[in-house]
Amino acid sequence: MTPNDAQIDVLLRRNSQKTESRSASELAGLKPNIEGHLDADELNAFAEGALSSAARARYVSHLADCDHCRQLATQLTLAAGRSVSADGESMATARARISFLESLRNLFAPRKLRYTAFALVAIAAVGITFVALRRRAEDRASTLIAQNDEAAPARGSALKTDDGTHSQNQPIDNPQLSTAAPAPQNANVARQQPSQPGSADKASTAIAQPTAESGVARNVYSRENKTENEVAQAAPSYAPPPPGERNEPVPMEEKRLKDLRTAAPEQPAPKSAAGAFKVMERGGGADEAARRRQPETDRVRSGVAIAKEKQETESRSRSSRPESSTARRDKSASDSQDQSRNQGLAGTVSEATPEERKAGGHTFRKQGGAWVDVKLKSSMPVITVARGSEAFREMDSSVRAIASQFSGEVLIVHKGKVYRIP
Amino acid sequence: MSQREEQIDELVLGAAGRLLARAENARGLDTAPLTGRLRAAIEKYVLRDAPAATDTDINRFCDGLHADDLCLVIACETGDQSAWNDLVEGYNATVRSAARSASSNESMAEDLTQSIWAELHGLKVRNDGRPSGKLAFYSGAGSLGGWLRAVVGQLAIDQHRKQSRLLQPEEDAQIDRLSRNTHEPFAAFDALHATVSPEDALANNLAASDVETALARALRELGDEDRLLVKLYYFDDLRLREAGAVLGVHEATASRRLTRIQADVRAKVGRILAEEHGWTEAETTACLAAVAVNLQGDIEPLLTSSPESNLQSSQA
Repeated sequence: MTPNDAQIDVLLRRNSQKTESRSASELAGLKPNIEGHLDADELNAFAEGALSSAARARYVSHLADCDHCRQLATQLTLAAGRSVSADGESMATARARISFLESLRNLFAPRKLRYTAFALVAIAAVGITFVALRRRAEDRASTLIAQNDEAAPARGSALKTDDGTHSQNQPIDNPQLSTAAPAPQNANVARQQPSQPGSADKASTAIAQPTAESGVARNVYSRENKTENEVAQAAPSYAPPPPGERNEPVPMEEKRLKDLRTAAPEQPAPKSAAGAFKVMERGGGADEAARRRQPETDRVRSGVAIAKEKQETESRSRSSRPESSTARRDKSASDSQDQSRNQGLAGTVSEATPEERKAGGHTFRKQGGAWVDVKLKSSMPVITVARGSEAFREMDSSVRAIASQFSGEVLIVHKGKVYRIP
Repeated sequence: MSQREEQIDELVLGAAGRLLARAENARGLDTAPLTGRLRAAIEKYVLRDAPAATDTDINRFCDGLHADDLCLVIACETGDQSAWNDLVEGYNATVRSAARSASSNESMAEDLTQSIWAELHGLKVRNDGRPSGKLAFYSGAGSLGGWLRAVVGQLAIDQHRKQSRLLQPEEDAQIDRLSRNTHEPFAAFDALHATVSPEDALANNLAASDVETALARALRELGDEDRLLVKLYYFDDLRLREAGAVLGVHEATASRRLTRIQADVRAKVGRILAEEHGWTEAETTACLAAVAVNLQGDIEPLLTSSPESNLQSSQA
């Protein structure tokens, strides 16, 4: 407050003190200072800010002169706890003052439209930039896919070269047998099928025959280091590992193989190999039949069927083994059935195929020319969706985004379903 | 009936239907008892100040009415006993609280409360056989609770006036004493002038009278909003926040407005003194400064509550 204001302030206070006595006497009813007081409804409407601007101006004029009404209005206002916005007007007053037409007029006022024009230009610029960047990103993505397509055969050839060296070292190790021969060993199935005394010898020979000299036998015994479910997961025919992609057997395994060779009776190798091939042919025949009946997606199911057949054979052969070891394996298998199956698949594949890619938070491994989601389970339903089809466009965008990153066949696990996109 | 009247009647009818639809408890009313009340409210609050009000203005006013409160009041008027029970049950505490605020003791508050309910129900009977209570004056523009507080306040003042007439001689004496007491702070101002020579005292008194007259005239020339703010702040001793609430503005706005008013008043006082009494600007400045200095010691407490300090204290 400036000094001048202080002087006026003092004068106003003095003036108010002088007139206070007059107001007191007027309030006491001796000399009403004004006629036509506001009624209770008007006072309340003023106090609650429920008046139009014109009516409010009339009441303000009255209240400025009428001490009686002003005091009542003040009491009512304070009792009502009227909220006032920081911009200087109560919300009710602001609403009353601004009519709809006025607000429209203000909205389209030239001084505001000039900002709107700037805003529109800015929005257009942002939109154009967004579209341009998006196109560039799409071009980059397509370029990456093209590069990936070019790079994939190169990797495959490298693996084949590796296979060649591997097969030279182990000529009998049939790559198909190495994955197809280990039939899924479902412990429950093995338990449900009682061991047949007559088939015990056959089973033992079934084990012994492969162990003679072949890689199939080595595979069977190396399988024992894992759980039976792990082996079961390696069976699906849709994902045969590329030939010769298996890692070198560990020395411990070699030692066990030697022990087994010495312990097992000598059997002609061709017979065992023929037996193994019989199993494979049967499985392969079923697989081919399934392929003929249904699209290629059903290979998963046919692979499971093969696995079950082999499981039966294996369970028969295992019936000759000690009961305690089977039970122990059953327990361990039932504890982590699905997970270990996945791990078994992943482990087998990772051993066989180190090629791995990640896309959209999913990890994919290359199996038999197809990229397979490591989360895939044999129990999951498979949906085949061709690229560019209507169903493909209706798929979840994340699945489409993942599929767009692979040029060949890909199996994507999404919400408990397997989407096979050839 | 003119075309405009017919239009307004149609608007009222539509507004009554919307009001009943808005009400959570319409109490079985139809539009008939509402239309008369709405028409009166529109005439009072809209058409009186803006005869050319648009349909939008009328509809906005009607849609801002307190639907449930108005239905309750009209149901009470039509003799709905359950509505009366709801009214008493819901608002007896409000009436009692307002009566306590307006009364000096509990017994008076109780008497006032009973009087209010009697006034609301109506002690007389109208031509149509219904009681003519104060409920007929409720328009729904404000809340029913606020309206009841206003009714209590007005009735308390009426009762005070009646009692004052009965005890007028004694009250007059009290008011005279009060008047003398209120002038006591300025006794020092008079004593100050009493120490000077009679000529100077006369001159000072004349100057003070001129300033006082000019000040009163400057206040009258203020706009209604400004005048109300001055009255609220200086005469009613409200804080800036409270004065701003009465005016519907924020206290910061009230503070800025008060500073502007002081400058305006000073300019007006200087102009009046110059035009009517031939004072120069220097004389006006010196006189106002002398008045301020002389009053400084006597009204120190008043000066400490300047607008800014009030604003700061209220913000703190």
